[in-house]
Amino acid sequence: MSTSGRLESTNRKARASALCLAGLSALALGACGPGADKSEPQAAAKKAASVAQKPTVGPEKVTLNVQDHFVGSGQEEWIKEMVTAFEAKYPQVTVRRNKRSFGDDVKTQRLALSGGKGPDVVHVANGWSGMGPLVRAGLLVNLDKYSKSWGWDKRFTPETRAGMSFTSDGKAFGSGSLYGAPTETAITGVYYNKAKLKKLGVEYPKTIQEFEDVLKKAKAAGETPIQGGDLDKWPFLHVAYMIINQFEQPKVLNDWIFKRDGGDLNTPGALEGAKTLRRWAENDYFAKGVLGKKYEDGIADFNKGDGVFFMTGSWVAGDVDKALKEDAGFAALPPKEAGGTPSTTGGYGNPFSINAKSKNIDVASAWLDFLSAPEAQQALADSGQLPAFTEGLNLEEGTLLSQVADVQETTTKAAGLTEYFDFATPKMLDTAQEGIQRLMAGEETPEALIESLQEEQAAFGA
Amino acid sequence: MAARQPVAYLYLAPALLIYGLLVIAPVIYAVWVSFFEWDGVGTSVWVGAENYVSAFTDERLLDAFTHALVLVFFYCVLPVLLGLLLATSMSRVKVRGLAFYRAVLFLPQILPLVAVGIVWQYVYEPNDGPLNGFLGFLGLDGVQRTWLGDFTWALPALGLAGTWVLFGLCMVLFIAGVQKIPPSLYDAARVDGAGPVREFLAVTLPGLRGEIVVAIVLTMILALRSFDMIAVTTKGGPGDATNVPAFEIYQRAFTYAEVGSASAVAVMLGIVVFLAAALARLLGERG
Repeated sequence: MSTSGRLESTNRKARASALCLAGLSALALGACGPGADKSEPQAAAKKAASVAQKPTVGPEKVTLNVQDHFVGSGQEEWIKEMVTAFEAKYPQVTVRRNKRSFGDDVKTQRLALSGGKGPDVVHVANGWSGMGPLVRAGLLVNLDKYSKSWGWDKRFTPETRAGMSFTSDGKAFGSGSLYGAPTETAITGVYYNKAKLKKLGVEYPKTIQEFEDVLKKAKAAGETPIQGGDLDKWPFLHVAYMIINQFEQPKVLNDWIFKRDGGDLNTPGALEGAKTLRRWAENDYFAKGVLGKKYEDGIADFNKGDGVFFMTGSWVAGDVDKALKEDAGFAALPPKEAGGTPSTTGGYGNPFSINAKSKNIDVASAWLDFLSAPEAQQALADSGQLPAFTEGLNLEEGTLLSQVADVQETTTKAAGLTEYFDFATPKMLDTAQEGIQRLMAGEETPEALIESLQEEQAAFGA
Repeated sequence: MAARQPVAYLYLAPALLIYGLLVIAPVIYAVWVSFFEWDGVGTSVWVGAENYVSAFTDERLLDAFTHALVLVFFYCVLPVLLGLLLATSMSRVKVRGLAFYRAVLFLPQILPLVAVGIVWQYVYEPNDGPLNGFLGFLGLDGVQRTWLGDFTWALPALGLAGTWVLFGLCMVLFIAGVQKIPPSLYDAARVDGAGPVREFLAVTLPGLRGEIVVAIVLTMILALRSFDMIAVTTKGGPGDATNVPAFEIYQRAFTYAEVGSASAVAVMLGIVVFLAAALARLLGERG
């Protein structure tokens, strides 16, 4: 090829690629963004709403695909039992379980639901950390009609309902329509070693000041006052929430989490809670090397008898019970004043929701109902987990589980339960966990922590 | 040549197709998505260069890139230096069972980084871990730290784990490289009265130029796109002391549901890695 010919073809190539680029840009600039069509979410939601009022499980053979993260030994035992029982009740239904770890489950849900062949039932993370974005994308079925037909209105408390509600445009959390049905309770509290308290010559403290005095005494006696590790970042969220719970009213905190009328966390109470956490860290009341220690190691150490208190949640009750037996106790962190409102963070565990694109929505709703019905809830209690609906259940007196259930009952009745702060926005989990680590290491002041949480909440959806 | 034998393209076609589908296409897609605000499933909104502009002013992201640079020191500079040291000493001294040592020192390279992370998390465990245990045994209680929970030491700690993984690779590269340096050059140097250091600087180093460039490029890319160990141990913590760009991308895409923003950071990281590798090659090839 001659030089000029080569130049010409280069020019032609250049022009061709310029045209290609222009074409691509035009495509990109317009309606062809990635993701769903703008009209899709509304269509899917409408389809779900138009489904039959009275849900029935028809006679046709159906395979119900359930994606869940029940991986704990007690939980797995229970869910497998439920699958068998449900299939026995409805022989035409086959339940196919796809189990994942919690982290994997939440991260793959969005994609699984948006594709056409996703699971019928999904196990979602609560609030804005999971359910919110799914509702906003129109991926979940609005369960209001099902709630009425199956009678969930009578089963769920108003707080439970609020925690699983979003407005159908996915803008507001805590009001609007129901999008999930829970099976377990996930409540935070303090596990305590009865033998250790006896050795120290104290009873379980009645106020938070008394609690702090016990911590001091334990430290002086060479014990680990509060066992637990925070390398995984999330465990000390609950420690912080529980402490703040004792200094600020549940209503104020819940209003902030649900962003009712804005809500403001910059209160003296919340600040005092943060200062208390900082003080306990400064005085070394936590396990040695707490920020570099894994959560599981904390459980293992507490179960081996190292630690007076262990501040976490109901999900490890089974393990603690097996290890410490009669020495195991569970209670809410004591309030500021003796006889004050018993208060803690918690509520139901991750609920089940229904895929808006599912072809078996009625059957899926029957599954949700089945799991939250008394028989299934009793079976859950028998396997060592705390059920979401404990009324009328038979919980063996004096067991650790019954103590946990007591805490749930008393705090619920006294309206002292607050939601987990991290439900407030998609980024709140990170903002909170990192801020708490900084606070404990002295890298951040209590004021700065509260301010960062408030800023994150205020910026969301603004 | 290819122009005269168009059938050559047919031979290339299968590999080109796979490469195009699995590598080129996703890159183009990522660049495209980076111009949108998208949660991954719902509708997307065109935002132009906004994701890039906000990335440049995002302090957290800039910190993440700084942390990646710190990792470059541990994953790239230290292993290369260690590798050079080991290679030259092993070639000077007659070591019995050299092949055995080579194999053992290379082993960390074949371990999946997730496994490395889990093992080193145990090593750094503040209460039961061997490191603090050893320091205590030596009476160095004051030097003990919470390592992966320490705001100052978590990143260097993870960096050292990376050094452990990669120095074997560098060493093997350089041992092979040294063997192709003609011994006559060493003889000539010795005749001129060169001591071991002079020998190293005048003969070994120039002779290993090619291998050094390869080692630097490989390890630098690994440092800049480091993800596995952080995800398995500290998850960017404590606070965001060990946050790195790759982990930030993962967080944005899968936790915050900000796929457009994640794609923009991914493109930025890709450009940084490409420039760094190109720079290393350029400096290596020059005089």
